Amino acid sequence: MVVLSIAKNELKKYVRDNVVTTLGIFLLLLLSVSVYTGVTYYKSMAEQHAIAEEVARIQWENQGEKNPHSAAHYGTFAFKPVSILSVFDPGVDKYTGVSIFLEAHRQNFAANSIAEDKDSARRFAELTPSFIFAYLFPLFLILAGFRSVISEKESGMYRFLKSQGVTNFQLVSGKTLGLWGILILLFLPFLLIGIFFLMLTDSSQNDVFRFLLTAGIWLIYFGIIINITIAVSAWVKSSGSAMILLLTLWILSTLLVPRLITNLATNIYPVPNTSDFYQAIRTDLLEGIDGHNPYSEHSAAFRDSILVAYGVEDVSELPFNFRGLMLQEGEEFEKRIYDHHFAKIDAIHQQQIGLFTVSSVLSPTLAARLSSMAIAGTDMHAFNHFTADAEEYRISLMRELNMDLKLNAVGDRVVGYTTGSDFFAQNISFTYERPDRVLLDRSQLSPILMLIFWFFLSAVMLIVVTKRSEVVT
Amino acid sequence: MKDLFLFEWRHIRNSGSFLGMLVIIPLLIGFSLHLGNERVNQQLETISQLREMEETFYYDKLNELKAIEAGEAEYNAWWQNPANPLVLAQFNQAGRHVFLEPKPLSALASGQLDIFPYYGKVTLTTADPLRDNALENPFMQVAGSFDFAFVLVWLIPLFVIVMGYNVISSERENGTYALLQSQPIAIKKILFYKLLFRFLVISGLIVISLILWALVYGINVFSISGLQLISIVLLYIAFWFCLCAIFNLYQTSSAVNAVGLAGLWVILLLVIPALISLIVSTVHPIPSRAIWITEQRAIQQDVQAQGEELFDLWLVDHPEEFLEGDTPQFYQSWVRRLVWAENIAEREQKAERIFEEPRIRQSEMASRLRFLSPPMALQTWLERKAGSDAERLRSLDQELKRFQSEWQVFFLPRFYRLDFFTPDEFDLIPRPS
Repeated sequence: MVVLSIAKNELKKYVRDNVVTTLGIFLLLLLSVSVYTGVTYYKSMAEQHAIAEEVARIQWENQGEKNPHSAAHYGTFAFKPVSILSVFDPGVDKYTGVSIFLEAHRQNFAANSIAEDKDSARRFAELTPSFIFAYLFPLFLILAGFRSVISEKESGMYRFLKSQGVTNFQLVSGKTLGLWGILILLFLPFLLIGIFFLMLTDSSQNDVFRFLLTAGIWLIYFGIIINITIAVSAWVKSSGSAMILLLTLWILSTLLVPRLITNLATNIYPVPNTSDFYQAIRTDLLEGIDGHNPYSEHSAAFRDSILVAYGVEDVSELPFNFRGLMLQEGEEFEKRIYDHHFAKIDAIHQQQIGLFTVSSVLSPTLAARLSSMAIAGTDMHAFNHFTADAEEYRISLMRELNMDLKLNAVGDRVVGYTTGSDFFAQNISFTYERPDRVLLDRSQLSPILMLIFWFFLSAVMLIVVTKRSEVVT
Repeated sequence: MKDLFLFEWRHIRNSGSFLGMLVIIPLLIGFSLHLGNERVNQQLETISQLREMEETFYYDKLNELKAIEAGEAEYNAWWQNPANPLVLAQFNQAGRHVFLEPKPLSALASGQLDIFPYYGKVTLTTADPLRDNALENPFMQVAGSFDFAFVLVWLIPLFVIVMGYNVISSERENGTYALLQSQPIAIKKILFYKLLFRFLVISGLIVISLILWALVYGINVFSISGLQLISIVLLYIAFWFCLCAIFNLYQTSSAVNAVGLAGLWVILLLVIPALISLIVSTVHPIPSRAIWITEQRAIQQDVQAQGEELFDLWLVDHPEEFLEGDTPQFYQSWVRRLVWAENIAEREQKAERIFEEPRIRQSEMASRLRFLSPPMALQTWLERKAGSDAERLRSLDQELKRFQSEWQVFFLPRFYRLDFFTPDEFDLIPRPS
C-alpha cells in the first residue's frame, strides 16, 4: 500500500513536472512521426517491389525465342520484399541489397542497397521507433529518474518518510514503479498505434505476434534502464553525480561499445573481399574443394557413368540431349562449391555477431537491438533466409531450362534449338514467403538471454543498493 | 587572471574526472587514428596490388607480341592475339582501374567508405565501381565505426560538458558563491576566465594528443589542411564551452545544467540529424532500385530487339568508321556489340536521372539544413577533408565514365580500322590521371 502511494505520488510529480511532460510529449510526437513516415515508406516500397517483381516476370516470359541455356544466362531477379515490421525496426534492411540477379553457373550477392541512395545524414540517426527506443527512451528515463531517490535525501524528505515508518525497500520500489508508470504512459499509445496499424494493413497473426514480442524486448530493456537509474540515484551522494554516471553508462552502452566492437569484429574476423571470394570459387571449380574432385574429373566421371547406364559409347547415341543433362549436373556441382564458400562467409558473420553478443555484457543496448531485429525478422538471419530461398529458386529454374534442353533438343533439333514465350510462361516463378512462425536459432536467442541476464543483474543491483544503509543517511 | 588560472589549476588537478580525461582523451584519439591508419594502409595496399596486376597484364601481352613478331611464339585464336585492340581493351584482365586515392587526412574519418566503393574498372563496355566490400556484415554498417571523427564530434563535447557544466553553479552549491561576489571582480569575468582556463586545458590536451599521434602514424598535420583541422577542433570545443557559459549564467543548479547541456547534446547530435534525414527523404523521395533493375533490363531488351536497326543507324552516322568488305567474323559481331553497349549506356544514363535528381536535391537540402546542427556540419567537413564523404565517393561513377570516354576514343577507332598494335605503341595506352 505504501509502495503504491509512493508510486502514485511519484507519477503525479512526473506529470506535474514541466520538463518531464514536455520531453514525454516530444518523444510521443517523434514516435508518431516515425511510425507515420515508416508506414508511408513501407507502402511505397512494397508497391514498387510488387511492380518490379511483376515487370521482371513479364520480361522473363517475353524474352523472345532463344536456346534455354541462353535464357539461363539472360537470368532473372529475386526481389527482397519489405517487411511490415521494418516500420518498427528496420534492422539491417536498408543496408542489404534489394535484389539478387539469378543466372546460370553463378550465385550472385544482393545488390543495390537503399543506403546507397540515401543522404549521409542518416548515419547520425534515423527516425525509427527502434532508434527512439534504443537511444531516446533510455535518456528520457534517466532524465526523469536520476533525482528520484537522491532528491529525497537532498531535500531532507527522506528523514521525514523514515519517521513515518517507510522502509528503504518501500521507497525504492515505489520510485521504480513510478518510473514504470510514466514509461507505460508513453509506451502504451505506441503499442496501440502499432496493433491498429498492423490490423489495418491486414498483417498476419505472426506479424502481430512478432510485434508484441518486439515490444516485450523493449520493455525488458527499459526495465534495465529503470533499475539502473533508480539504483544509481539511491547509491550516489549528489544528483549531479547521478546524472554524470548515468549519462556515462548511456554513452558506453549506446555509442562507444557498439562502434568499438564493429572495428574489433572487422579486425578479428575479417570478411574476404569479393575479388578474393570469387577467385577462391574459381580455384575450387578447377581444382575441387581442398584439391578433391575438380570439375573436369567430375564431369568426365559423370559422362562415363551415363554412357555405362545407357550401354552406349558416345553421348550422341543417347536418347536425350546430353548437354542439357551435363549443364544441370554442372549447376549442381557449382552450387556445392558456391554453397561451401557462402557458408564460410556466413560463419564469419556469425562469429562477428557472436562478438557483438558477448560484448553486450557491456552494452544492454546492443543486446536489445540484436534481439529486436531478430524477432522483427529484419536481421541478417532473415536476409539469409531470403537469399537461401532465392538460390533454391535459381537452381530449380535452371533445372527446368536444362531439362527442356535435355528432352527437346534431340534429333534434328539439336542444332539451333530454341524455345519461346509459351515455355518461359510455364517456368516457376518466385515470390518470397517469410517463415510464418518465429523460429530463432541459438545465435539469435543469445542476445535475448543476455538481455534477460541484464534485467536480473540490474534488479540485483537495485536490491543490493536498497539494502545499503547509505540510502537513509 | 593569473591568480584565477592558478586557483583553477589547483582545483581541477585534484578532480577525478579531469585525471580520467588526461588518460582517456589521448587513448581515444590514439586508438581512433590507429584504426584510421590501418584502414588507409589497407586501401593503399589494394590500390598497389591492382596496379601491379594491371602492369603485369600489359607487360605479359607486350612480351607475347614481341615473341610472336620474332617468330618464337604464335596464337591459336583471334582473342589470343596480343596486338588485337579488343584483347588489350576489353577481355579478361584488360582495362584500367580508376581509384579515388586516400587523401592526406584520410585516417580521420571512415565516412561512407563502408557503403561506397573507392575504385572501379574501365573497359570498352563497362565502367563500374567494384564492390569489394559487398560481403561485409551489414550489421557493421548499422552500428557505425569508431574513428577520429566520432571521438571529436560525439565524445569531446561530453568531456567539455563535464568540465564546464558546474563552473558557477557548484560555487553556489558549495556556499562559496557569496565569497566570489565579495571579490573585486565581476562574477561574469570569473566565469569567463574559469571557462577560458578549462578551454585551454582541454583543447591543449586534444590538440597535443592529435599532433603526437598524427606524428606516430605519419599523418601530416603541419599542412594547410592540418592547420584548418586544428582551428576547426578549437572552434568546436569553444562552441561547447560557450553553451556551458550560457547555462552557468542562469541561476540554475548543477543538475539542471547537466540535464540541459546533455539535452542540447542529444538534440544537436541525434534529434536534429534524424529530423533532417526524415525531412529530406520525405520531401525528395528516391524510388527503390528494384524499379531501376527492371528499367535497365527493359533498355537491354529494347536494344536487343532493335539490334540491326540501331547498327544501321550508327552506320549512317559513322560510315568512315566501319570497314566494308572481307572482314573477320569477330569484327562483324563486336562492332555491333560495341554499338549496342554504347546505346544501352546512353539510355541508362537518362534513366538514372530519376534517382540522380532527387538524390542531388536531397543532398542540397541536407547541406542547407546542416547549419542547424554544428556537429553534423563538422562531421561533413571532416569527411570531406578525409575524402570519405558520399559526394566524393559517388563521383567515382563520373570519374569512371570520363576515363571510359578516353579509353574508347583511344581504342575504338583502332578496332574499327582493325589497326593492330605494335610493341612500340603499348606505352600509348591511356592511364587515368
